[in-house]
Amino acid sequence: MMDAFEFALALWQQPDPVSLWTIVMVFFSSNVQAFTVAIQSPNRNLLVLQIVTLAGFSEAIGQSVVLFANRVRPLRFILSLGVSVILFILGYLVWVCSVWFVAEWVFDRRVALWLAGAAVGLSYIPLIFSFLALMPYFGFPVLRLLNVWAAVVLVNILRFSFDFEVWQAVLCAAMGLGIIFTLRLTIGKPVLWVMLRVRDAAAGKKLQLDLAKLFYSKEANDEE
Amino acid sequence: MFSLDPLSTILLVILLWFLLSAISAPFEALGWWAGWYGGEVAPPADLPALPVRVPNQPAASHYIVFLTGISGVQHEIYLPREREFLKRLADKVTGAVIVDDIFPYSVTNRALTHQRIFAWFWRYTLRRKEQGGWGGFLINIRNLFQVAVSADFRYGPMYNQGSTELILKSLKRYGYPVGSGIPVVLIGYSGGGQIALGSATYLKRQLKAPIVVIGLGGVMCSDVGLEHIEHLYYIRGERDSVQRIGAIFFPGRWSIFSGSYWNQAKAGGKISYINLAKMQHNGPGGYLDDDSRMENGQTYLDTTVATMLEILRR
Repeated sequence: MMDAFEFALALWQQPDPVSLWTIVMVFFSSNVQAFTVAIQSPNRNLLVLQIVTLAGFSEAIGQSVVLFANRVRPLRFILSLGVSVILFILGYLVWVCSVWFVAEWVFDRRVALWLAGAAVGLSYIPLIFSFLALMPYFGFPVLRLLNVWAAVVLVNILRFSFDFEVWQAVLCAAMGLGIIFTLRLTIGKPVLWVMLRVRDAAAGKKLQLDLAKLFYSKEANDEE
Repeated sequence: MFSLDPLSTILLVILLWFLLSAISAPFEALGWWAGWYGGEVAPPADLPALPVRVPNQPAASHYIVFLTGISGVQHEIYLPREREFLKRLADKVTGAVIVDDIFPYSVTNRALTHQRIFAWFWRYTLRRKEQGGWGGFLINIRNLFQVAVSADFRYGPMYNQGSTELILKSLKRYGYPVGSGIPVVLIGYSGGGQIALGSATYLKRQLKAPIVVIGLGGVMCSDVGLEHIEHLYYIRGERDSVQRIGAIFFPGRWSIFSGSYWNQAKAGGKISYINLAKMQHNGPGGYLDDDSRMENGQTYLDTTVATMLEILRR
């Protein structure tokens, strides 16, 4: 009698919201378990948004050398970080749509868009540590490792959430990436142009994003 | 949610401190470059009072700039062994000016123990070091990260231009006539070797004079500066494990990357290795030790000075 009551109560009661900290800690023991906990949480969308925003902010900090190198003023610097985070979140949304599109149309998996959003969002957890890119000399390789880690996590979670084989998960992610690259080279070009202008507007000057061109090109050397 | 035993807690704290030191290391150079602070390089109040420099010479044949090792904390050479080394070098070298008031681990030439928010911490650390404690380790790590900043392809150009400004200002203060073409010798001890190589590119551009680098147990990467110097003399002790850090951690120095600046310079005969038997990096048995002796009876310090003089006479 008591068990039946508890069962009914469990159906009626919403599970407790899960904190970002909890998800990150669970993530380190099991990617899939973190995904399961996250999607069962009533605050799942907020949770995913928190992960992606934090990863975006961390990456903006990690890549802030570009802003310093371009001699961006402090207030503009903060504004530029904010813009970077927004662009990062937009990039995440495009990434979610492309993965979902491939799963739906290529692999015939009927998966809700929000679930794809959660799967991709959870794979951003390693990118929360992108600020480590600031480390001198070893920062850049560390950032690359974090990106690889995030890709492995995505494959792991896609396998579970979309019921994929490993090769299917890898192919799904790769094709999703392929779509993004294609978009960048075709109809996405004007969007990229606008994004660059928004970055420049926030920084208050035309940013040279390529440090090699900024410091090592012949033009840069002739200027000094 | 989780608990740690005391040992793990200590290790975690050390790891966090290490990471914090690493990620905060570039900010002094970045902030200086962006013009956020330190626009005017803090000049020493006067030329150093310590008796290691040679007064301005009316017709100096060359200028020698000494860049201290990673144990330095300020622009004045305070380590007794380094002071003694410079003093003996100054006594024996003729027609040269020795510049010895640069703190190469700060692009604003600010001492760790002054003009900083955490100056109190570094003063405390220095006291611990002087008492033979752990302070030296913290200072070395802090400065080693600055060496890594200089070697980093993203930060290096900014940091190295800052170092160049420091060197230029010091050279001028010691009477160097810019545009005269008088040769400049950069002696980089330990991590100072990297700072010397890193700044060579920009120094050459400004001075338009021959630049020679002497790396004394230098920790150096495959820096573009190698293209701009006349020669690198790499003095290495056979028991110096610190100088090996450069050869291990900087891939450009691995022989498999034959196109790197380092390997190109090596192939072009621009790097001369000078091996000093038995010598270590620092302390007793180090390059500047005046107690340990070679088989011929000469002290390690005198051997190092003699080696430098031989290079300077070439």
